[in-house]
Amino acid sequence: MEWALGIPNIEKVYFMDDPWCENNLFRSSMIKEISENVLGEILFTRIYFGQEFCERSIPSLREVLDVYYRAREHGQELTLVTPYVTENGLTTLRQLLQGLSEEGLALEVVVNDWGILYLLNQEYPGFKPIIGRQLNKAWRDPRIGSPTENKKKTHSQKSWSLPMTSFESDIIQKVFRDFGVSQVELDIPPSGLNDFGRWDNKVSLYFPYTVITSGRMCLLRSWGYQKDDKFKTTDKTCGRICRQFWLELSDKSGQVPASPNWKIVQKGNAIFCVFKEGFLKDTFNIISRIGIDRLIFQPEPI
Amino acid sequence: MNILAPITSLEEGRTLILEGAKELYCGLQPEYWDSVSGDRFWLNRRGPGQGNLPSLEELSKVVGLAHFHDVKVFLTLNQSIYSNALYQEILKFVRKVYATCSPDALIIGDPGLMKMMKEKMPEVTLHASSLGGILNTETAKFFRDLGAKRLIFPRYVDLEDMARIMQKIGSDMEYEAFILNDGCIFEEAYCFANHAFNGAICHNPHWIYKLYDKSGQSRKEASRSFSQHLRDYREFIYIGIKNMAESISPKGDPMGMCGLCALPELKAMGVCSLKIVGRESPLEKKAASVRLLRKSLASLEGEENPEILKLCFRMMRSIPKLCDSNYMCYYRN
Repeated sequence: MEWALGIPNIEKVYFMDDPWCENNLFRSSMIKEISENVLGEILFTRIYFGQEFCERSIPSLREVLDVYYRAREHGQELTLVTPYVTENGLTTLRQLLQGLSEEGLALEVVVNDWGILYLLNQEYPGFKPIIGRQLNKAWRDPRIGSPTENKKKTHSQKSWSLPMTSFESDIIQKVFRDFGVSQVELDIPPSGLNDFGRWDNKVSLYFPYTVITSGRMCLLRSWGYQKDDKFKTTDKTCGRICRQFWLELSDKSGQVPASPNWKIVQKGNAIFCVFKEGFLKDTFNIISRIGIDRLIFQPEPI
Repeated sequence: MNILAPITSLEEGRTLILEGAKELYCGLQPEYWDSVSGDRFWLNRRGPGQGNLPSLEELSKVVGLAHFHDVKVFLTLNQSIYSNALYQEILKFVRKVYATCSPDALIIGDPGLMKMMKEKMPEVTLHASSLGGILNTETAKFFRDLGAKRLIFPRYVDLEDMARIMQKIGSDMEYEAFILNDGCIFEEAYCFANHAFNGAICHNPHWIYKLYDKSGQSRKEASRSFSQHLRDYREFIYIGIKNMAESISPKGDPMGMCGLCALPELKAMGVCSLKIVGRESPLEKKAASVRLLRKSLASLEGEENPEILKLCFRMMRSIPKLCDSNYMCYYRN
């Protein structure tokens, strides 16, 4: 199994030197220990650079090249991670891909927008597209129920009707193949990782964050703006407050019950489940059984 | 531009056609579906009894009535994830629908389902749902090539982007835009929460937010400033997402997201269909929405100055403070 390290932006390249450094959202050292106990020694041979949620954070060509050369110095490969995009983000990404192409770097590209998949297929066939977790659709609602609850339910609810993610269906796999895809990504479903319908190609898994939802309207970005300028989707500028702050969400009413397995956090424009050690330990045991080709550790998702 | 209205019954169809709707959209979750999929995994984005027609017979009557009045009917199958088995069940279901009546199109967000329908039932017209996330020209091409005849833009797409996409894709396709009622905080195509699990997680009024900085500290000064920001956020949710507790304006119009000021631009760029959101809304709200939009579209006839038209729409709505807040606008500058 291959290990990849997620670096969401250029300010976080220090994780390349110390991936397991102390983290305020989870206990890195514990997760490392649990991972190694179950899966053996961890050696990051690949860097995932960029992030999946916001077009305002698409890195520049210079930043990508910087991280690429750093990675090469460590003997690591580079994967470019891309978000869903409007026309503005599309222009930025096209310029980036063109620049990389001119540098002769046909990287792996994680796509989270059907249009970027289409663009790679039509204009940049040298890049290897990987279906990002946001195109590999899944119910990631933490209220979906615990693995134990779901085991009880599936007997009465036709378990075959509850796919873990959309890539398990032959029909979606056919779409992916039409676009030259040979690898898909997922994150850990709050309902627990199950055996899934394998395909002939590769599967990557992100941890410890699972994305619940994201959007173009960013709660953090408009903090400090004039009231009538807040909560727009169309602003092209950003003060990148999401890199300075994060939010922990709780609900005492019980509409979103608390769980010993995870906490819910918001970074920028996205809400995540962050899984705790016990749940991850169970998940790693399942991983070792069902086979995952690549594990992507994200110290921070944004 | 056609008024596209949501319905859940023949009665609603009849009323909304009389009010001026030229297109209707609806969902249908047959009674047997729970036994196929479980009660929390729906055929479209709404569960049984929550915005769906009650039966295929009702759909057939709606289609008959609508076609008699030269009105089109679109059936939505816009769930974002289906299993292998469900794809086959949907195919059986759609074949049964078309053996019984002829809806004018299916609304689909899942590329797999769109591909399957194009292969198995090429005669059926397909609309790419807002769940497809058509935010850029390349995504529009993706769904065009899969077989979509109409592209439904998600909420809040920048008008310049919309015009650029339409210009590049061309007039062979049809284009639909949101115009009235419910907003969404997050991007529908990239939301993996499910309203079936005890309501919307996104605008849960009970969320308590605790702010931390990158050193893991929760500092008083920042938290105080952020609390004010959260008050604005909750106001935005109340106005734009919760439709001001489903209240009505002094003129009897529904509150909630509104794109009327963008009508001149939408018309000029060639949008053919204006979507009123809210299959689950009461008929009174749907009818009031159709009336408001019909009056607004009538204003476009004979007046071309967009500034005058915007003024006219503002006067028509008679809620100047809310219009000024910008929190009700689908298409903000």
